[in-house]
Amino acid sequence: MTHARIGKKIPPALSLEVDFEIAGLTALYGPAGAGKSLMLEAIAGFVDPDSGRIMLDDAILFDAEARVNLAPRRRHCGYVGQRDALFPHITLRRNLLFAARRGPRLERSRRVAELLERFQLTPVAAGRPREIDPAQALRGAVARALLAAPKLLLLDDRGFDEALLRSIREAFGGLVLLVTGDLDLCCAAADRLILLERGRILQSGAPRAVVDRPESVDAARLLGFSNIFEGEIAALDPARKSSRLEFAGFALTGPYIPGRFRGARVSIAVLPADLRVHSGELEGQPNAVPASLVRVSRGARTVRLEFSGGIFADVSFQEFERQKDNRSWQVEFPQQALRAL
Amino acid sequence: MTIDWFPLADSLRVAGASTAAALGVGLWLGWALGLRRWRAGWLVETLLSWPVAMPPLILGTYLFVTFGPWPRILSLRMAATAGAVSILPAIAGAARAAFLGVPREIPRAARSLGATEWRVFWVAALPLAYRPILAASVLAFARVFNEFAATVLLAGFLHRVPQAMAGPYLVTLTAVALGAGGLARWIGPRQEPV
Repeated sequence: MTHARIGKKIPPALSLEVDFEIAGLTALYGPAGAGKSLMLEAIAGFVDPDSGRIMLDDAILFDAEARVNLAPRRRHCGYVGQRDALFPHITLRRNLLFAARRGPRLERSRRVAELLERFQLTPVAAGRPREIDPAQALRGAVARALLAAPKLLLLDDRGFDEALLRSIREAFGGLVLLVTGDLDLCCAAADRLILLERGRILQSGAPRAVVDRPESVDAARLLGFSNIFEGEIAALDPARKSSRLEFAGFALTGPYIPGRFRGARVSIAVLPADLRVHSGELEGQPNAVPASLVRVSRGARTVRLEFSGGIFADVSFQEFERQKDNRSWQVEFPQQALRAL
Repeated sequence: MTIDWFPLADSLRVAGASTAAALGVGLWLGWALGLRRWRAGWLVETLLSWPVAMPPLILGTYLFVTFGPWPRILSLRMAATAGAVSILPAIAGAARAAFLGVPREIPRAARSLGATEWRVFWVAALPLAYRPILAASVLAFARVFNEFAATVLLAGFLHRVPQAMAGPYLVTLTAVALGAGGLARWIGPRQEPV
């Protein structure tokens, strides 16, 4: 079992208190300053936690109560930090040979050659780190970490993409803990997703489940649910799988919310992309709320419309062009887009 | 007139021995002090900086009283010891600063790859830190060299060395000092302006 419970205070900015399990490729997602890198450093042994216990494959790496604190070199953790840490004065090949210490000499050079080939580094193997480009340096750092035969690979946010993660997993059967700010990458490549904010775990589980079903207001906000409203359940209809929800100033028909009672307070989160906007003059739009447009911000692929009452909707440029002359607006909340927290 | 360069040869030996000794101890001290927070670190650093402000004459006397059978003539070994003590702060200080200047992710990476501290030192620390240390050593060498040569010279003038030799000697000592400064500047770290 690979499990970490880490408590570490770095006043005044951060107080880390986390308890989590690492399985397969586990992704850590959170805003800057959430303590993600600190967690990696604590597991690698560069930072001593104040409390807790870190276990890797049933071996204890750190235990505050039992006063166990293994040196980084005995932890079998491959660590690829945020900044380039290839030894700058020797070639990439010798960087890799530094990590390959076990076995006879021929065997070591064979393994180095194999990893150079796998990470497409053979052409630059004779170059010093500063002569190769950052993407190659990153792959070199990963290859070097893998040569030391780690049980757990710690990858800090440094432009990992799906292709690189795939080749890492082809070359390495062990555990991976990845820090990333890329939610798409978490869903595409990770087996487990941990949401972290201000040193606390908000939610963890299979990436799809976490992304689709945030359990708290903080988790929803972190996952991009910009529309979060607090309201009351006015009616519940299990037969038609629907509910009636009343918010300050408007009411909506939502999906059936299991395990809640009529009259209970509930927070509802909606993704901006799930909303539809219409001209206020159109009649009879289901589940629509009249709103006045406050701000328009044009992104790369979509336009974000901010309405009064804190409603955000993302629409395509095409859609926005079609509707931008609307004199008044209404926002449609598709029933299935409403998620109860 | 033939110039007797004999005192300079001795000076060379003394300076070489004391630089080597101070480098050996200073590298180790600098690494140990830069590696982690020591509870007694402040004490070591205070003791280390003590010879900087101490007049060499009194420093020598202390060493004499401590190690030497008083009143004996200065032996070369004593001179080398005195030299080593007086330059140790400069070398250890330069080493510490140089090791602290190594980006910490580099020794960290080496450690997580399973390297022993010995390998970390030789592969992930010293090759990135040697320039300022070497520069400090060159200056330290020149300082011991000149200090010893000047002392011997002064003592010599009082006894038997002809005054005519003063000129060439002074030129030599000045050249050594200047040359060491230039060499140190050349070896030392290349830094971008702020």
